[in-house]
Amino acid sequence: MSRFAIRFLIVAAILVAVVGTSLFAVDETQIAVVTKFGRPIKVIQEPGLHVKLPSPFASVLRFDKRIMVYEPLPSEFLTEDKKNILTQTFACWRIRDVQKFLETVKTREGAELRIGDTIRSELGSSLGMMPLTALVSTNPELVKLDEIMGRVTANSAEKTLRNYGIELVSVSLKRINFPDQNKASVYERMRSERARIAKKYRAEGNEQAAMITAETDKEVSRILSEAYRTAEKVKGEGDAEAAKIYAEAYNRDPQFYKKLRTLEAYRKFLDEKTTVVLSTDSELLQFLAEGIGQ
Amino acid sequence: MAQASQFSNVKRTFRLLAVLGVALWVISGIYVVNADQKAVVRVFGKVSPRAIESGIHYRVPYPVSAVMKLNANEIKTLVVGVSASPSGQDTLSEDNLVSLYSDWQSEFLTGDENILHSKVTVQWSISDPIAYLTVMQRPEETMRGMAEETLMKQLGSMHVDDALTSRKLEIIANMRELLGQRLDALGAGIVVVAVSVGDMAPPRTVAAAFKDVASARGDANRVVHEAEGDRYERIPRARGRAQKRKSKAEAYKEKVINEARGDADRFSLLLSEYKKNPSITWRRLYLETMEEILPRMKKYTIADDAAQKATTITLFLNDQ
Repeated sequence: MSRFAIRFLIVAAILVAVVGTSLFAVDETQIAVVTKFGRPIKVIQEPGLHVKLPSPFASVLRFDKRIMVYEPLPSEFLTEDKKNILTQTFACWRIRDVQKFLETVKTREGAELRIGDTIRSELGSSLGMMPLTALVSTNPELVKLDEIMGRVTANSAEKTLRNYGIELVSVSLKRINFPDQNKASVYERMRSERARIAKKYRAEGNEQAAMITAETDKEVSRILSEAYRTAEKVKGEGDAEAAKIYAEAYNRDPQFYKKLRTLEAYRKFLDEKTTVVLSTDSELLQFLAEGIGQ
Repeated sequence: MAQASQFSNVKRTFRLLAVLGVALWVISGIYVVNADQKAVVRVFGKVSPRAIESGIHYRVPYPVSAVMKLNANEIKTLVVGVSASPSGQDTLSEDNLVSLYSDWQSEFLTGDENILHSKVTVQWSISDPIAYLTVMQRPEETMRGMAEETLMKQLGSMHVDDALTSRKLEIIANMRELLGQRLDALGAGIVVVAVSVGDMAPPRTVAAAFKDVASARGDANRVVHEAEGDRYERIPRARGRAQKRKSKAEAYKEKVINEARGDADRFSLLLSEYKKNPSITWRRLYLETMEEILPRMKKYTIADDAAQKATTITLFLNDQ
């Protein structure tokens, strides 16, 4: 190989190194910080191809500028009405002031530690002034969750931005619960509440059933008594009609009726146990004595 | 001369290789986006203004640009309320507090301060691939947090009974809406397709008490149904008895009237005969009666008028 060729290769290698290390791409999801001997000199927000002094004069630090999510450990608080609650928050955050971020927290882990501390202290002071019903309640007017978290977010965001260059997009409460040592009493309360409700259901059922039965009794009694009334009335009509018919017929000759009816009565009440004493004057015996031919 | 020709050979080969390499590099810029995919192209890290639809496309190859393909139409599933949150779980297990949160992942407080185990499934898909890639670092984790938050808010304003029964659908509808709103507010490029409640149950230790409420409700229904059944049986029976009574009364009425008519007719007919010849007819009637009744009686005949007066029975035999 000629000396020329060797010289050409060396120059080419140096050129590639210089150009290669002075050009750099910044991704859409990144913020780049150009540092000169470790000192930040330029922040690049715009994605694309950028130029810097070649290494080792300048180097590039890259940070994710997307929204990141951080869930601090659950923490225990005492509410205004002296109830122990465990809460878990989750925070959405992103780097806003990358220079301050670089100066103070540097890494994601450092940022999360700071965010966790800030949220915890804000949440502690907010929840300490609130009864539990401000967080969970069946009365929607009592629930001030959005208000509380709005205030916690605003206060925390102000601090993290000022101190660490971190923008807190949102701080939300994603879980409220009782600590395990309090759960036994919570379960006991739930149980007695259930027992009360069960008793109430049964009592109400019996009440309704009794009402239905009473109503049935009433109805049955009404139906039967109405039937009695109607039936007796119909019978009465029959009796009256019959009496009228009898009266009309017998009135045509009351005397004859009386006699005829008497005969009929005899047939009925004079039986074998009856002893009859007949006078010789009696018509019957007169017939006997005198003969029918009279 | 031979050396020179050898050199030119090497040169030619080198040139050929270089041309081939460049050609391969250029060709490697061709890429295919499948029908169910969308692609995002970055040129030196800068994202193309629009997502690339399916088909065959070209871009300047590495290191100038890069392609990322996403299954844009695929419906993905996120389960909320199971101990599967990887980041949360890891940090928890490092801590000695872990015993405090045994059922932490699935427990939610209701508005009446009851604990419920809840599992909710969120189905989602990517609506804007560029936003999906550039707005959030961990979209799924962020969405999980938001889903849990909305679920907590829903349950935190409800009675435990309602959450278990009548308002379940409301939870689903509200979660879908609220979660969608929060994702839209961040411009996350995610659309919530559906939310479903997989599981909603009281803690195991109080499950029996909850079951008893259900059976109490059953018992209440049962006694009410029994009373109603009783009613449905007794009222028709009473109506039947009533009808029977009325019919009997009608029958009685008809009977007495018919009998009266019969008796009256008989009397009338007899009377008209009697009027034609009263004395004979009467005597006949009288004797026929006597004939019939006297044979079966004991008879005494008393001639004396005085004795007659002492008899205990006075019969109107004499009063023609």
